[in-house]
Amino acid sequence: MKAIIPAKVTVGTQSNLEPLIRQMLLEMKGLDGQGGDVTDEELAAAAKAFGEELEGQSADTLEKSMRRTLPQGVKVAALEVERDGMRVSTTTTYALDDIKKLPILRMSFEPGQPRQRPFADISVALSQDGLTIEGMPPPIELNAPDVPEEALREHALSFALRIDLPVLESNAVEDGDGRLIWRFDGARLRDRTAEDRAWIRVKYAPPTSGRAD
Amino acid sequence: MVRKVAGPPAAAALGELAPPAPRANQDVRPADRFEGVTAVEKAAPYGRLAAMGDFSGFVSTEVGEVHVQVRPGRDVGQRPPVVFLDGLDANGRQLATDETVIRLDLKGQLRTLARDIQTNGGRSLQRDIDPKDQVKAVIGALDALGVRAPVHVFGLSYGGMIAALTKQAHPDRIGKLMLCAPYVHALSAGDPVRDVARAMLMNPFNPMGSMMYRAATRAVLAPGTATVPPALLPYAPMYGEALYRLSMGLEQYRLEDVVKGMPDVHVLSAPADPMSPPVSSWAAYEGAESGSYTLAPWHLTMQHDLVRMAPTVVRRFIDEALGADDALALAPPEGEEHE
Repeated sequence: MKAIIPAKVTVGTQSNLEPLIRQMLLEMKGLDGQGGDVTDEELAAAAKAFGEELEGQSADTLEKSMRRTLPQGVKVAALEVERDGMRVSTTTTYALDDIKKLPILRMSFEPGQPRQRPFADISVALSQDGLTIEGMPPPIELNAPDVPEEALREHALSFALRIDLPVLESNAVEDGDGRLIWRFDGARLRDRTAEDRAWIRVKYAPPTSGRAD
Repeated sequence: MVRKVAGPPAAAALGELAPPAPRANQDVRPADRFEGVTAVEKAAPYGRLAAMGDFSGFVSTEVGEVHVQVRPGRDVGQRPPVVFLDGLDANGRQLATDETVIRLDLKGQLRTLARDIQTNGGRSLQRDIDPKDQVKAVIGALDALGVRAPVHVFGLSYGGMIAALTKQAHPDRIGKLMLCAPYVHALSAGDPVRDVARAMLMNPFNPMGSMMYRAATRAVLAPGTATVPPALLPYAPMYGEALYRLSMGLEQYRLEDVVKGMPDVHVLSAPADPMSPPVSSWAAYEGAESGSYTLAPWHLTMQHDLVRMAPTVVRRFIDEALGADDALALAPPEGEEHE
């Protein structure tokens, strides 16, 4: 079938940066031989400074860079950061004039940086039976041995789809507003193997305006 | 007692350790190092340095003015000096050794930073400080001092990576590379907390990950978290910014890539140093062609600043790295014999 199927794809990240900031503070204290644990006051001061730094940053540069490198028909509809202390969530919504462009999207987040392919492991197939989207979130590469489970669970990724077609089957959670959501915490991403397939899977009914090839 | 290890530190740490096995190609043939230099330079390759005596001042390099402190040591003029590159915070440490020491304040560090702030408003801090510029600063300072013959270099932490990059870029100018608790990798492969953060922040689902990491780094390096050196007290806010710019400049570098195949790499590490994990510096050292790896005594566990906290250990490390028969000692002028 050939059909143009508009879609909105939202990817999200959730990260608790407290362990990282605490570790960095510990290292700073070790740098000049002060030593000792990080105090609550030191952590609170760093958290405040972190919040101010993040709020002082503008996503405009990122958005411009992404816009410049995205293919025609694909836009960044939203790029948002939410912060609660040192817990930070990001939401990026791409508006595609045709969902079939999803797997081939390449964009540069910052000027001069290599282009990223966030959806390289996702496939989109349209047939007379329907529209099937399946695949995997991006892998995470850990170098350190024995990363504690709790450290991994402080981070998560999510993938959400909004397509104006009836859902026939999926392994997602619906948000009640016609949107399908998949969420993966760091521990699950760590445990991913080469054999794992289709953590993201949905089949929509075929579009009525399509035509057979 | 300084213990030299001949195996990975974690395994070696349990018992008495044998001295390191000699590595292949450990000897450096002195004469090869001096091809193309003049007879006068052969006779006294560090003669200009000897003539300077104690010196503290600025020299011009292609990347700007750099503060240099020369402290003459034994056989100044004849023996290769040791260039000392301080850690990120560069708080005026002095190197414990009897060798001639050339102490450099790199871009963004101590007196070089103070001069930049006074004369240029801190222009060097407008962007991340490129380690390649630091290499130019080192070589430019040596040129300005009239030192063309090879020198040894000792780098603490941040200075260790710059020292390694200098030897990588100018193998003809650097003899022994001495790395003390060297910078290994920013989001260290050896530390689980940093590793998870790196993996998640740099995930392609997160266009803002790099921005978040920068915000965290800047927050931690903000004034108040590091002890400001007295020379920079009037510029305390700029000091925090300098730490940030220096730190971010190194993000792309890994020590094991830089020292791979490199001769004469000597590493001193403290047990369980969280900033320079021995397991990581050992992995880098293993890729070097020759050198030695020394684990500091257990009472220095988790100490990063060995230059200040353990001068005796550092002195011995330098002596052992340089060796009794200084590998860079001059070939005798024609017609003369070694005593």
